Amino acid sequence: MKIEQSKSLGLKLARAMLTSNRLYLPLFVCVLLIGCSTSPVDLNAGYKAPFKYKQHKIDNSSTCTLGINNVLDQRSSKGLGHVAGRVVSQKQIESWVREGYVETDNLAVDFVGSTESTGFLDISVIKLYSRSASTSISSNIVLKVEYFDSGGEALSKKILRGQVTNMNWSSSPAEIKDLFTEALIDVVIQTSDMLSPKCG
Amino acid sequence: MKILKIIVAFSIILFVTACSTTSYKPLNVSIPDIHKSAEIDILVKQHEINKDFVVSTGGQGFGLIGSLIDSGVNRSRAEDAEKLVANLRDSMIDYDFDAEVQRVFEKTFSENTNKIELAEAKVIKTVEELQKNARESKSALVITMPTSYRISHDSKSIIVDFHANIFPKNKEIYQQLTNQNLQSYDVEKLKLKDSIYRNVLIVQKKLPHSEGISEVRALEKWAANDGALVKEVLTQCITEGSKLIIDDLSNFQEGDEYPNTKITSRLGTELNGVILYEDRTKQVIRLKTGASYAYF
Repeated sequence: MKIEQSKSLGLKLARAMLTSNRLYLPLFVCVLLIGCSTSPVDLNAGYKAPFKYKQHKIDNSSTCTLGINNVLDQRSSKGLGHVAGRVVSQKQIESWVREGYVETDNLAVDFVGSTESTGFLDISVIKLYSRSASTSISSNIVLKVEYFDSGGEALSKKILRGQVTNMNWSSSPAEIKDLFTEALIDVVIQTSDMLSPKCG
Repeated sequence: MKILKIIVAFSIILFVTACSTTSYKPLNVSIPDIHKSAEIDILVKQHEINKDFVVSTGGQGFGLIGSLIDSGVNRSRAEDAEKLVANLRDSMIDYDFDAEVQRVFEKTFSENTNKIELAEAKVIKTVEELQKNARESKSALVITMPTSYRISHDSKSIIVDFHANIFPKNKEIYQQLTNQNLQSYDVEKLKLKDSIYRNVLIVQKKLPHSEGISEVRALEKWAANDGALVKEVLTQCITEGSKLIIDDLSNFQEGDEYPNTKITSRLGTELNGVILYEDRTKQVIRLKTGASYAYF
């Protein structure tokens, strides 16, 4: 029954394509061409927090300040994965992660660029990639976060994963970049939640 | 005007077929010693293990609304799969699949085949890199092998896929091996129709004692002891896959391409194919499409 319905739909489509004088054919060809597109996506550097995270409010009673010291890119593979067959890449990952920590506001811990604070963090980027599956797109970021007091004594070390999955509307660079940003914010919030009881 | 429409309609069909390939082409040429040197370029696009999910297609036949519903359901299932597999990924954060697949293929090919002589095995992350390697290869044969690894949708199996293709390095070698004259041949383009061998090989290993346990429990078992079990099984699957490819290159017989008898796989599913090997622990099948499938 389903096969018959598909066949009938196919015949109707073919008939429409052959008999219409309008824009259906060029449009359909464009859709097919886009479907085969494999051009790479090169994300521009620079962090920009999505608006919804600027509205995030928390109880600031336990706020403390931690500096971001070293950010190292320790990924074994430097690509950012594939979305709908397109290679995704971005340079300056270290500064992007650093900005993500510093620019995300309204957290229990205030991350700052300098190390003149009650403690500081060394951050290593272990994994950073996106992938698409069916009609969805996911991004993962894995960071090793090491926490030191102001005297440089190591207090804790943890591996954290930020992960976001959304609908893949267009595989556009902006869409992919937003997804990476959301995954980074996810891991920044986890860092804040983990360290706020220790540094308050 | 009507002719123009027909031409455009055929062009559309060509666009669609340009995106598709057939899965099997046996290596039924003899390779002389001077052209036996080969390089394997293993394309591994993924960065960590993925998890399958059952793709919803229930909205098909209900137009745009049905498609949107399917898209929403699939996004939700993809999100669940990503969350479920996160702990397993964390347990094997130091595991390097790329290095392991390279090590195993170098070892297995150097020990087990005289059909070709392996000069080098490399792991590559993008198609562009693969094309560059093919262009710069010093070997007579370039074996390209897109490879993926994942955990099944019920989390009870590990699956590794190998899409193997063999390309002669240049037009002269192609003509010597196939006795066919080509107008043009460029190995860098990696056109599947120009390969002298092509197959999809799938290896699947089930979690021991997994009957009746939940998906979450199955994932815990894979991930226990820093992912010891999943790492071990991935190595077993890679080893089995490399041996399947060697068997496929060495033991082809005319008429084997498209077996069309009904068989029952170890998973209990009915398939069209032929059982190549079976014992208490392992079953190897050649499917109707020519793809080889090992289940153990």
